[in-house]
Amino acid sequence: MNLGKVLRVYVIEPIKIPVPTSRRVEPAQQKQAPPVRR
Amino acid sequence: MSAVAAPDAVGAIVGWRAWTIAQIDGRFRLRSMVAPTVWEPLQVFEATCLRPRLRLFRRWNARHEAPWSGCQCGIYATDCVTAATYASGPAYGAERRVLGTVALWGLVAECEHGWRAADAYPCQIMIPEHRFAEESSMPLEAVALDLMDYGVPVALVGETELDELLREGHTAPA
Repeated sequence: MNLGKVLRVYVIEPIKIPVPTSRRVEPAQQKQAPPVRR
Repeated sequence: MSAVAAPDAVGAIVGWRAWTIAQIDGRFRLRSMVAPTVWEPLQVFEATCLRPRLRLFRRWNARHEAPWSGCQCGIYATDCVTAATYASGPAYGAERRVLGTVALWGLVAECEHGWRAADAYPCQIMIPEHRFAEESSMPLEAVALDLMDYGVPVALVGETELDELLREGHTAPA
C-alpha cells in the first residue's frame, strides 16, 4: 500500500483502549457471537 | 480522505484498514497483511520499523522510531474504499481478511492517502461473511467470537454491503 508523500507529522495524546463506543462489549461479559445471516 | 470521520476518542485519528486473520494458540486474531505481526486484544499495537532486519537495508540506517518520514514504516490506515478493496481482494489459499476502523495516536504522519502511526487499536471490526463461508478452516462463528476479545463491536457484512462500501465509501462510526 502506497500512502504517498508525508504531508505533516504530529503527536497525539495516548487514549484508553478499547476505544470507547456505545456498543462496546466488556471483556468480562458473557460472549455471544453476532447473528449470522444465511 | 473523504471517508474518514471525526475521531471516536478525543484527539485520536480514526481511519480504515484491513487485517489478515491468523490462528494463534487456537484463537483467531488480527494480523497485519504485510508482516507477521499480531494485534493482541486489549493491548496497544505499537509500531516498529521492520526494515533494518532485512539484509539489504542493514547498512542503510540504524534503528529509528516509527513512523519515520524517511521510511515507509508505521501502522497504516487509509480510507474506507481502499480498506474494503484489500478486504475483498482475491483470497490467497486459506488467508482471509477483515476490515474495520482503527484509532491512531502517538507520532502520526499524515500522508496523501492515509496515515502512518506509532500506536493503534481497532475501533470496529467488520467480517465479510461470504469470504469465510468458502474456508472451512475458519468457521465464521468462531472467528467472530474470538474477535470479540478485542472489546470493540464486531459486525458481519455481506457481499452487497461490502460492494456499497467500495462504491460509496462510509463514514467511520461515532
